[in-house]
Amino acid sequence: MKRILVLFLIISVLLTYGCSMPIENYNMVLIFGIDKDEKTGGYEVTLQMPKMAGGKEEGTSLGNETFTVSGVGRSIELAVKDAYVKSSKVPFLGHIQVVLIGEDIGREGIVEMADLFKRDPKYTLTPWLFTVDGRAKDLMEAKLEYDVLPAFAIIHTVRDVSRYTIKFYAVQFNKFLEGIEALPHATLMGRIKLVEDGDNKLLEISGASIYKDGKLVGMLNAQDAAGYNWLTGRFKNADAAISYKGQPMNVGIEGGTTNIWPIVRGNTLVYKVVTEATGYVQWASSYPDFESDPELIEELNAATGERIKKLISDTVKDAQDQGIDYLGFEKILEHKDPVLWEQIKDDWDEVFPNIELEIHTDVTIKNTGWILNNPELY
Amino acid sequence: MNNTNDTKRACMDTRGYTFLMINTLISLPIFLSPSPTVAVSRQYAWLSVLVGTAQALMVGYVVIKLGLTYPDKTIIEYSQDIVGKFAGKIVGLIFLAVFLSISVMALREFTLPFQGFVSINIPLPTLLIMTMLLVTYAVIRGLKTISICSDVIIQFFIGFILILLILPTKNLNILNIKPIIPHDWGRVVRGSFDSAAFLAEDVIGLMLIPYVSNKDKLMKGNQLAVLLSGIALSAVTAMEIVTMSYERVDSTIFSTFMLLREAQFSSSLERIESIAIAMWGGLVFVKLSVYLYILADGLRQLLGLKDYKPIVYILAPIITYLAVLPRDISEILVFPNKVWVPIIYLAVLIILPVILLLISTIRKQGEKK
Repeated sequence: MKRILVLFLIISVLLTYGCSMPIENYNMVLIFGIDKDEKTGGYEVTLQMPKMAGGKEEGTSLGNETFTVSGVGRSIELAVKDAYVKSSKVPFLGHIQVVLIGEDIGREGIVEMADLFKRDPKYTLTPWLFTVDGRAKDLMEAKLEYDVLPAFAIIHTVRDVSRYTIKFYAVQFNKFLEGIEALPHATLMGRIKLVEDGDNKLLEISGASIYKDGKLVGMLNAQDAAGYNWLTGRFKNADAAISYKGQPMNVGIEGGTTNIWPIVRGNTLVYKVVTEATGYVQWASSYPDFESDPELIEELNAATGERIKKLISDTVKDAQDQGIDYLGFEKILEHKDPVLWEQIKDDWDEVFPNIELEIHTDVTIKNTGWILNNPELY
Repeated sequence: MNNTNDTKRACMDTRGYTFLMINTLISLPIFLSPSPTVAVSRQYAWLSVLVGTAQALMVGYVVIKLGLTYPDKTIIEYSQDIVGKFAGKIVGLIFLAVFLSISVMALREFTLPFQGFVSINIPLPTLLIMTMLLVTYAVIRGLKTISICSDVIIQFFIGFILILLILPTKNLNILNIKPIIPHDWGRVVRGSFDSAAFLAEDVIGLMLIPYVSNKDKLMKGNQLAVLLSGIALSAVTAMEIVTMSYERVDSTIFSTFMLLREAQFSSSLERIESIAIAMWGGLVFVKLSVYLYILADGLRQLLGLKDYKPIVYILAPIITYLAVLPRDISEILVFPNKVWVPIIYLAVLIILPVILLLISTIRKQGEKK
């Protein structure tokens, strides 16, 4: 009995061990694009994959060029399978880096895509998500002036360039899902567009797109995206352009936090926003004399705080005017004052536009760069 | 090596018992319990698990107290001493029926992630038969072999818990778990029964106590197993809530697999749910082995046979056949949701051992007088 069992197990291991298909039979999908198929009204899926490098490593290492294939179908999965038959190898969907959603399909809704990616383990849940101004396919098929693959160019922008600017918002699939599945079912996604600079075509990541109940309902420009980032505490390495005594000046932000508390004052729901930030004078047109006037920095702190306050209040006002709580105010109330939330959750759409905002900023400019006072050059 | 054909032969110490118990208690709930708990308790699910752990500790106290009243016998044997021969056999049959149902459901649930995530093309009967062959082999080798397997798997499990708590940290959103102090304790208590029902499975101690060598530390070992399992389960549940939000945990069957599917510790370390699949395989294998062993051993005692091995050869195909019967995942989940938590947990894991302990205490006091 024991010998038969051992023999059976060895044969089982020999027959079942190993990958079902060698890796060189796959094409790694880096960008996954979805548009509305204009002819059928269904989906058009575009997959961008790298061409494999030549030489010794042929077939197993990524080259520097890409190719795209498209498929159409009544469902996203059918469109993907249609794209399969046009690929030389099996498209591998487990390491998609970027998902691009065409504006038309975004407005119709991306619930099916979200469900497919969550449900089917062959998809990854961590690609960066962007709504395209226009069609995703046009952007993916454009000849770009990059020395790296477009997917990695986008990721470099999101991960590295975001250290220098807060004028865009980017989100990964799993965190976007958290935004639309948790209350108030409205959240932001990245926004990308193809721009032409002379003969060159470039990708521009700027602003954000607004989704409510899985549908694209609006876009944010760069200024609003910056306001949102200030409100949510994502402002490390931001710039605050201020006007001091009529002269333009730039304050670089090193870091800080934003905390939000809902409080009830009388019959009014008030959201108290407290932003604390530290920074430095990045650029000044008038050479303020910090050495002989210690109060100067205090005035700059206040001016920078006012600028931040305006950015945040403009962003909140825009959201309230649209009546869409993509700021996550309902979620904040649910988790910080659940008793009150239970009482007003059913009327949230009426409550949100009437929320009052109380913003406090505490900016500390810690240094002035390498220049302290006026060199009297002019 | 001891083959433990004889129930009176101790084949593991308290440490081995504790590890075996942790393995049995944590194997399914660490993967399956967060979602149903969150469905009731929302962001307080991690607290519900701790409340459930407190309930399981009380069950554990009763179980070990009862077991140590008859340290050389199993519940199948001494239930006949406590409530008489016929009623005792009924009690024994109830426990064996519960062990059988857990074996069947654990075997079927064992195949779910393998079918869903790994090898969708392998037919269900093939998966079940291959798993049962491995389990049967371990059970035939004896309880000591299962205990050694458990010792090894627990070492990996410690690493696995660290992975679960460290790798998804990039996705943390502390707001998801607030407020820490619940505004509705009723919700916390209502959500505690699911994890309590899983953690109270230390009722299998009633079958294992005769095989433990140094019984004086058994109570401590058993309660430590329940406590550590509860803390680990609470920590993983908290991690899932804080990284995915309770809404997403609620909508996911295998939320712990999802936790690792989304974890990105660095740009190159991602899609690590395969680690969870491996851990699932090891943990559930030991659980299935323990249940098949106590089931065969219990039947041996009930039928008055000398050797449990022939019973294993009969039980293994029966369990495999029964595991094929649920047609889909909805039918598989009926048992834990509709039978295990609301009926078996209360009736068999709490009320029955308490009644047996009360009667045996009264009888013993009567005998002394």
